[in-house]
Amino acid sequence: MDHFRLMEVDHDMQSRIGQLLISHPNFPLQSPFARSLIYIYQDDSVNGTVGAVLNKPSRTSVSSLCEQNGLMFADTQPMMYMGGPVNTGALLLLHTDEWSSINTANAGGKLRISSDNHMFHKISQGNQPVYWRAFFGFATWQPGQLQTEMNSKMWLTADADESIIFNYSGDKQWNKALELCSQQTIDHFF
Amino acid sequence: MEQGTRTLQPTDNRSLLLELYKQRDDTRNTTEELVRIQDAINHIIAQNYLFYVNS
Repeated sequence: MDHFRLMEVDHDMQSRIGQLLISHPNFPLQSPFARSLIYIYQDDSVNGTVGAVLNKPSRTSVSSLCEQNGLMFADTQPMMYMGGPVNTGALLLLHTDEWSSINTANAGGKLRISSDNHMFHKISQGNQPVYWRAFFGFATWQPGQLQTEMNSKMWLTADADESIIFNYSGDKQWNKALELCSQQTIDHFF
Repeated sequence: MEQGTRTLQPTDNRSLLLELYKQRDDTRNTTEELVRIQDAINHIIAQNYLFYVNS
């Protein structure tokens, strides 16, 4: 049955992998997705769409998470991010492609996504990607759900930019992505 | 049949958008002015986004 389902994947569907999903400025402020910026790393017609919310830092630092797991990570600056409401116990690492762990998959463009017990062990030993961000959980959409939401003007999109993904946080990151969307829209459609 | 002479106004704000882009590129004003222009650009793009990408 799984094989049959895999055969149904529509490869002609325009994939959003590698795109930034930017919540519309009119998104209700009480929604948890208001002023959200999401990186899409999986998208197909059978399994739907999966992404990580990039700009919502948690109160947990990577170093304290490592410490809880018996690892020593000296840099107290990087924070864990809330990647989305699904499986918030899962740890994900979005990173550049020159680095890998045991369970690393292509995430579009020059980015990879890792999720295994070994990745923080490597990072704590100083073996880390050039750019990375770590998340609790992720966001998902059923097949067709995201398109429906886009038709309802809930989201804007932009081709991903590594600088925006890794160098900003919070509302400033969302604003930067909105500017990127504006620039790309002008460049592509005018 | 009579022909109207009134110029129809486009509803997608393209001309305003392009004018704002020109203003942004030409401006030598303050950071606040640049932010105001960029916010106006972002607002127009967001409001008309589906129209732009589907046209």
